[in-house]
Amino acid sequence: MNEQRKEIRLDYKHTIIIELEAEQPDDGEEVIAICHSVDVSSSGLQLTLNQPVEPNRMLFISIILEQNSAEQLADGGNSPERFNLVAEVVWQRAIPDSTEFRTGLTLLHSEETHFADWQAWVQRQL
Amino acid sequence: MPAFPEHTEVLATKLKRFTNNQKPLNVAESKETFIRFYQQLIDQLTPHCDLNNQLPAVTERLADGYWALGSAMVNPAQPLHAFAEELCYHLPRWLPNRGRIGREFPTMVNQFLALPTIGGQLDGTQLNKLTETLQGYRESITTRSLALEQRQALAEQNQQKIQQTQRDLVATINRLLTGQYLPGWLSEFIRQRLAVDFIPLKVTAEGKATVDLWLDLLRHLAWAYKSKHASEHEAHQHQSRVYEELPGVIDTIDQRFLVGLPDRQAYEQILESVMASLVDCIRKGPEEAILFKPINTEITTEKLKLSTTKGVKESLTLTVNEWYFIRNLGEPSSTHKLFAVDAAKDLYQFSDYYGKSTQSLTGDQVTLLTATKKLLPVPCHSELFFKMVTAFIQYEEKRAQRALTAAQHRTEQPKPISDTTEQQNSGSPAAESNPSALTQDHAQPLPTGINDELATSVIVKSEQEIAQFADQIKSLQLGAWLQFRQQEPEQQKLTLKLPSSDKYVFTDRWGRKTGEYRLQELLDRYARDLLSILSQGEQFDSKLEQIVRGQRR
Repeated sequence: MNEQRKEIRLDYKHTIIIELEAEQPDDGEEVIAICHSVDVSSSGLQLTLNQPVEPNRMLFISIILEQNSAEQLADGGNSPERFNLVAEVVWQRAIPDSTEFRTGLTLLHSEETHFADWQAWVQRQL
Repeated sequence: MPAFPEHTEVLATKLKRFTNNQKPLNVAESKETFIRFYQQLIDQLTPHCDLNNQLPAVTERLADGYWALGSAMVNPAQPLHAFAEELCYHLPRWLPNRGRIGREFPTMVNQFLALPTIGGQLDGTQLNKLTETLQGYRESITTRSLALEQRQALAEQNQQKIQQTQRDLVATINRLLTGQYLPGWLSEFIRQRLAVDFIPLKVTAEGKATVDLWLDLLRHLAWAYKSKHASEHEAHQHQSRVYEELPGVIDTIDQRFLVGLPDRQAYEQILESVMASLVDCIRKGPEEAILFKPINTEITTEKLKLSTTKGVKESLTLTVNEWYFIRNLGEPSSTHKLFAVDAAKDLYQFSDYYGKSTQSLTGDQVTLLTATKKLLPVPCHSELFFKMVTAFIQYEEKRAQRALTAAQHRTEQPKPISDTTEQQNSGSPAAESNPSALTQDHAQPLPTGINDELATSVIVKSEQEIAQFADQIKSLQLGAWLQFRQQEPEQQKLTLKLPSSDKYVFTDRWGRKTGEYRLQELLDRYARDLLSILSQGEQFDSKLEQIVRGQRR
């Protein structure tokens, strides 16, 4: 079984920005993917990507909240615009009859990220 | 109580030298090294990440506690030693679990952190109590695990019984039908469905009755279609038998044939076809039939590849009830106990801390994992501390020897720069502006195991520079790039700063982990001019900002 999250999942479709390749000081340009979540929880999220990524890669992601969305309004308009986080790829599988991949990410606790804010936000949605 | 080797006294005497502030060693540096060795020991055990918040404090407390004992730390009767040893059992094995059982170990760890100290040392009485509680917990977990493992082993035995049943059943069908004539559709059905669907039925009383009914039917079918392929005389006799016996056989076919079967509709249809076909046998003679070919038992029984001789040889080194670190492809290392070996199938069954089956490996897989060092025994927890202290002593002795050699060198040369240092730092601004830095007794290598390549390098930065660099490291943002010299890859990106510990996790540009360092380790590298900062890490956030703004527009 791929899904390992134990927390309650919310079927929220957020725009996710992922840095698939970072810009290295003297080598290579940054590669960013824009996709959507399938569901989210306080510890991770599931999304659809149009390219394969191996498990264990640690990627910078940003979860974008739509302005005036139902979730944001329900949160009293207090939600930040976005959550910058670090996530690790846990699993990925090809979606049948599609060129896309369902991808599972777990969020990693790190300083300078919105990890705690994200957890608090998810809690408020429950 | 653990038994240390006979030369414990020698070790204690040596330790005394380092803990009593004897020259030429600096006791503060020795303590720092000791703590670093201890941290390494804990890191080697790869504890579960759920303990990350507690472990730095635990490690520091244990290391401090040991250091406070001085040379007495090697006494096996020390309460701290019994606790630390017990902790070393749990650390590589513990996993989060639902309910109280999953919380017990972290709770006991917290109790350890809250233990009072008396005169700088942990309260021995309370520590002994806590150790006993932890040991009791281990025993209860072990008992529970064994029960679960036994159930799993039993399930495996049942699986073997089922396979034997399947072989027996296939043999019976083959004996009844091989060389006999049956319509093609019926042969195919028997081969594809009966041999598979009947297996689970055979192990229940109700299902067994169904199987017996079908086998009885097969006995009749074995001769029902014979006449077309018999001599005239035999055909005549056969026809008589058809008239006499088949009406009775058809009458016996009813709902009892369907009890327990998985796909009643399919079997109902096949029974109707069988009855219609048998009625035709009576009315107008049997339909076209073909020879029934025996069912290949290899097709229906699970194929288990027997290991090669090499595989058996290598994997025999694994011991039942011992624990192993296993790192499967694409997964981090995890700890498993080998709880059963099935020699006939060449299968190795592993379980976790709570006795739950985690994986089964074939002999070939075990051989491959062992050969590639992805399957390694968990070190015996009772030896770990002693080995660490021995390594620490050896390291300190080498350091003392180096300090002595450096002192002799200084008295011989007016400008004391070692050959290697001179080569490494010719033209280096740091070396020019801080010549005194090169003369300091900083020639200590990092502990063996942290990084052997660094062991021979020499410190070229002043304390002031190192302090400034520490501030720079602390102010780095995620996404910063650092240049690691003498390491692959040289450029690494700061991807995680773990809260409540001073660990920094680095990756390559694709997010693949390249290293994890404590602040002190980074400073050690910088001090040896093996590390520099390439960027502060502001790009990611600002670039995201641009993209997000673009999205919103």
